[in-house]
Amino acid sequence: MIRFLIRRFVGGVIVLIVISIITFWLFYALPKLLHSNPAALYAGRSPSPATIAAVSQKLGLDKPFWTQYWDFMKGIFVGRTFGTGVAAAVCHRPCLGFSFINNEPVWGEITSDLPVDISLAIGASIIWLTTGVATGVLSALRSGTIFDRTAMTVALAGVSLPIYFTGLLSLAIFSYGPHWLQIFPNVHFVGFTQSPISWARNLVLPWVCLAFLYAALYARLTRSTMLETMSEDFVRTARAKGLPERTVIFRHALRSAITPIVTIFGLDVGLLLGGAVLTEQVFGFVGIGKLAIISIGDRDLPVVLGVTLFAAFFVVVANIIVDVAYAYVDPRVTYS
Amino acid sequence: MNPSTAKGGTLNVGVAGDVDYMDPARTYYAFSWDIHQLFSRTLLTFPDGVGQQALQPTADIATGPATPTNGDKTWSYTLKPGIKFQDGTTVTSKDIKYAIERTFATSVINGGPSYFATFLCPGGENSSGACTTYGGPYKNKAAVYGLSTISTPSANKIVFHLNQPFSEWNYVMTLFGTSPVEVKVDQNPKTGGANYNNNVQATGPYKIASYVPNKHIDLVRNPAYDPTTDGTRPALPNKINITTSFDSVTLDNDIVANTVDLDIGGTGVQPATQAKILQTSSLKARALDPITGFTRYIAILSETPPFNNIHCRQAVEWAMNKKEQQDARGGIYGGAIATTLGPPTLAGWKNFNEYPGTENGPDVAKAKAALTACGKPNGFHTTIVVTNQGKGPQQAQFLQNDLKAVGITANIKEFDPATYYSSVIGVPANLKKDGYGLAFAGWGPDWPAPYGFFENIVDPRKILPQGNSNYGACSDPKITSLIQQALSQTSPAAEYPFWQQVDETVNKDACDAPFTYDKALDLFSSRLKNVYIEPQFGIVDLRTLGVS
Repeated sequence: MIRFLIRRFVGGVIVLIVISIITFWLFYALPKLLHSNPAALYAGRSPSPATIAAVSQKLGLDKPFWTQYWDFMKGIFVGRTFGTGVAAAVCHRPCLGFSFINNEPVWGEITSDLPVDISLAIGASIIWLTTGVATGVLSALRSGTIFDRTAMTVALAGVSLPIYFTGLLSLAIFSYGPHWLQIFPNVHFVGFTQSPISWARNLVLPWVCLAFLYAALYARLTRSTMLETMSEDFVRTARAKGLPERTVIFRHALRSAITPIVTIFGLDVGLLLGGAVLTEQVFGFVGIGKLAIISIGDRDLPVVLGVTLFAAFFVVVANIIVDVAYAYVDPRVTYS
Repeated sequence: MNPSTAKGGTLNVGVAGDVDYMDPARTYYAFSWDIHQLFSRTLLTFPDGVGQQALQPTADIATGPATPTNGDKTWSYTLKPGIKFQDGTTVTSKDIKYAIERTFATSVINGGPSYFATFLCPGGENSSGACTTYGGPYKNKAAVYGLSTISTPSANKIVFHLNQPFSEWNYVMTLFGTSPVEVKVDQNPKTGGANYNNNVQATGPYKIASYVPNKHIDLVRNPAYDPTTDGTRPALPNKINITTSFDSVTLDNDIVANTVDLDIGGTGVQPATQAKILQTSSLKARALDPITGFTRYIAILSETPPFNNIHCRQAVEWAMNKKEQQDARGGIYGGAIATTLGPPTLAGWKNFNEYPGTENGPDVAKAKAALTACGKPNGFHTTIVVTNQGKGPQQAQFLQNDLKAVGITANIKEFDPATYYSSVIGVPANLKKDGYGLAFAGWGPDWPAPYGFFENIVDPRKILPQGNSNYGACSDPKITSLIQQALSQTSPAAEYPFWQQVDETVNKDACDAPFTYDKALDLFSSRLKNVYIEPQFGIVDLRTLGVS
């Protein structure tokens, strides 16, 4: 198991390095292909050549590609100082640099936006996992009945309706709608530490909309894997042994059917932590997704790099956790 | 709209983007300047209200505009007594000198207007725009208060010795680079330099309670502010909360629902909201549709053949359908037909039209005659460049059709707005190399007087290799001569006729073909008081607003 973990960890680090090089290169090479100095973008209106040169030097854009890249990677582990003397700007580790646009430390910008995505992920994932799996199991057990058919039709709707549709619809009804339906007026993000009740209240609509989308997927997936598993030999054996039906379903069948769910759950939560762009946009939350959009629009390289690395990091870690969880969930899986 | 003098309450403002900087020396967005008026006082400012009177600089920290001596090169200002930073320290002339010195350190303090270095660099800037005789106050202690061209004979007197005559210097004194900065805050590495952005010391009626980038800016009353020293800031609300990175559609809905008071971005409501406003009389009653001060025009790139011939350029002026361009920009609520490059919100503006009749539609006959005159009776081929978002693509297509009607074939190339100005049309070498002939552009002034609008976009000496704003690359020597004559006048009013002629020459030469003055349909909450559009920014004046 240890060797397995080490291998996966090293693999994850390699993935992150490759992603960072590619993102860096895109920002470095593209302006050169267009024959323009990237510093001009950050130098204000009608900048003189001297100003562009000064900005270029300040942002390190005049250095060769690998020097810039190395400076950036080094900063993550030991911090970095930009400039000298009184005007020097110190960036403590983990240093992801300063925004080209407003000079804020990138690490600070990302970590201040992260709570939005953590909040969205926590609530929505619990809701969709429980309702999705429960619905799937019930549908599988009552396969062919009205319940099953209704549940799967609703699930189909959930899978097909994009989040911006359900989100806007829920806002139109419960936020801007008729007075007697305005249960959630003025939806905006409130930090958990600021007011847990307000935090939860403002998150209900995005949680439900997100959960609807994912629960639908999980219900359908659970149903099909359960149906498949329920027809396996070992389930027949368990029944033949006289075990209570409950034990057969939960301890034996579900446990085996759950492996694809675990895989997808890890990936989904990992991706969600990296930024729920559409959800944030619809409900006006400024999370990592919104930060990504803003910084791409501004061509703010350090922030784009930071956001990309964060998102990739969450997915890589989620993948590793999921693979480890496999070994505990599915007794047939061993790592040696 | 809704006059009132009642104090109190919290003003709730939203904006779709964010300020570029809180550091007054570095900010360049119009709406950011509007917000800065609340906490960054400047030597001079603009009066409240509308009309030409609101376009003349008036007292803020200084007792009033200066009358220049020494051929428009020496400008003296007296500071009012009793102006303090938020920590209670009295503002002196040295604090203003230091604030301007910071703008010379372009490797630390960059992003804002660079006029101070241009006119105060001892001996003048070199050919690439660098001031080699003074590099800012961060290099060594001697550089602090070391700029020889600003003298501070006493704590309440400051004198500027320009390196060349400049009749609009009073306008430069309205810029936020003149907002005083305390040396002890800015010379401390933790709170100064690039970090000053998070430690701005207020001199206005409000101070910054909290600034979280991309989230919000909260302003509260500044206890050290003395309202008797100020004539332009009623400062009615007790608190001002600005929520940034607001989703545009949500912001519109919130203003309609009266949970947010206004959108300070100043670019108007979304198209869907515009339809709602025009159909609902209660919404229409709390909407304004001002001219924003931006002119939209087509730069006819004279370095790209056949636009090196004036008649080929004039053919485009006659062929363009300005009414269609207006439609593409949102109809009569999105723009007013323009026949001058300078907008009506410029001091000394006069209307004229070098291409009579084109305000109603194209003149195909005259366009074809112009083509014959430039030796292309059967037309030619060229490339139109435009941004790929918003109204740009539609505008480009309309232009393409208009040109086709007179025999000019054009293909359209679209670019991302983030890089369009700085990297595409701002690099003259690329324009020539790629054969781009026509570029959609827009421009607003750094201050509402002719130099502040025209200089960077029509002065042949301002064609920069990178980040260029003189897209048309107008090189008529007549323009240079007129600008020089304008600058040597002893008062702004005396300059106006020369800049007028600059505008006329640019239009006659067809370097830039204006088609609309931007308008924006803005919506406000029903409780908002004292609402009007300040002409220098084209955005609602935050100074006068009340919510009680």
